[in-house]
Amino acid sequence: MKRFAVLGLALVLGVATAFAGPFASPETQTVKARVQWAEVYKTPGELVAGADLIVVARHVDSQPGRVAGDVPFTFNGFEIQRVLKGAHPGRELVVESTGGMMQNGVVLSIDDGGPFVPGQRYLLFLKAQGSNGIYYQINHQARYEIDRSGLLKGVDPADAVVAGFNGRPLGDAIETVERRVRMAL
Amino acid sequence: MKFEPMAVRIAIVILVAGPGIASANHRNGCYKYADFNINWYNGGTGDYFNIFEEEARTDANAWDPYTDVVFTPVSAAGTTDHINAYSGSYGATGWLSLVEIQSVSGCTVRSGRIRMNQTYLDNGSYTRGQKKAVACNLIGRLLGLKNEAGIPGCMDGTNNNSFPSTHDRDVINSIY
Repeated sequence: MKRFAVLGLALVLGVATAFAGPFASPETQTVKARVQWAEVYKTPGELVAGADLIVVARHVDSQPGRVAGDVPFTFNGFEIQRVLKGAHPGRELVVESTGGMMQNGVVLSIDDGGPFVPGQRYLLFLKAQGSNGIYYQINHQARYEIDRSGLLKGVDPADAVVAGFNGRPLGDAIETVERRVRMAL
Repeated sequence: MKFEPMAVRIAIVILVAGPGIASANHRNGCYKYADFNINWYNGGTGDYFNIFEEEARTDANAWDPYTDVVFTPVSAAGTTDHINAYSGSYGATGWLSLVEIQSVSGCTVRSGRIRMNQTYLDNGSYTRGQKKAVACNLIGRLLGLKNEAGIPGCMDGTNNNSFPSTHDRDVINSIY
């Protein structure tokens, strides 16, 4: 577990250093890649409908995952606090994210919000990878930090869907999501 | 504080929030290759090799013949004035494609890497034309453009057009 925590801290520091500008230490080189998402939604309702699992969860730790064609992935462990849509056995949840340490020592991060912060609570819209019990964040619209006052903070507030949740109290967002889930039944 | 010479540094890359000029002409900040001569490594597999070739060099409206950039095919990926293109089945990741500037000095891109995720692109939901549009968009991004809606072309972000628009061409030609 300690190893996971150290890696998570390294990833956070790497990205934080990247944002410090071009004169940051070369020991913490980070490449921030941009992706084209497979699914991007036009409304919050579409986002709710597209998710297999919607949860409020606290990030616990991270560990290196698979590497596919030089692209590193990270397994992010969460403790589920509330399930808003879908079914998941138990409280432990694993979300795979693209990014991590590459073979050359450079950290790869994509525009999905970057590494999760241990201890931080999130509202997450997830899809299942298959039958392996692992999920992934659908896109940049699918992740919201929950700050200490219970307000949501999205990855890209300029996005219309993100704007529908960004800055709102978690309770309001939960009500919206659960209402839409009920409407879909 | 001692600053190392930029020429020998592999700087930290932030495609989104990098230094630069705003997007009136849909440039991606100030990023560009050093000049119009760019090494082109095609690591695509199967038909993706052909798709990359068509979008980079062989279609009449591919980036090389249509604009002032010149792609020189090379047999291996590299880090000096290179575009390195790949395809692969990266799994259910959420993303169709990924573009990264591998190394940069100030505004000058030294090498970039593009990837197409066959896990989604080969699931039956995407036509070959749409795959070409994705490849065209990826190359355009590395050359220094970002998406701009409303002008039909591969930088419009719709995956419906597999060619640079005349506007894309003009912007590229203005910076190389």
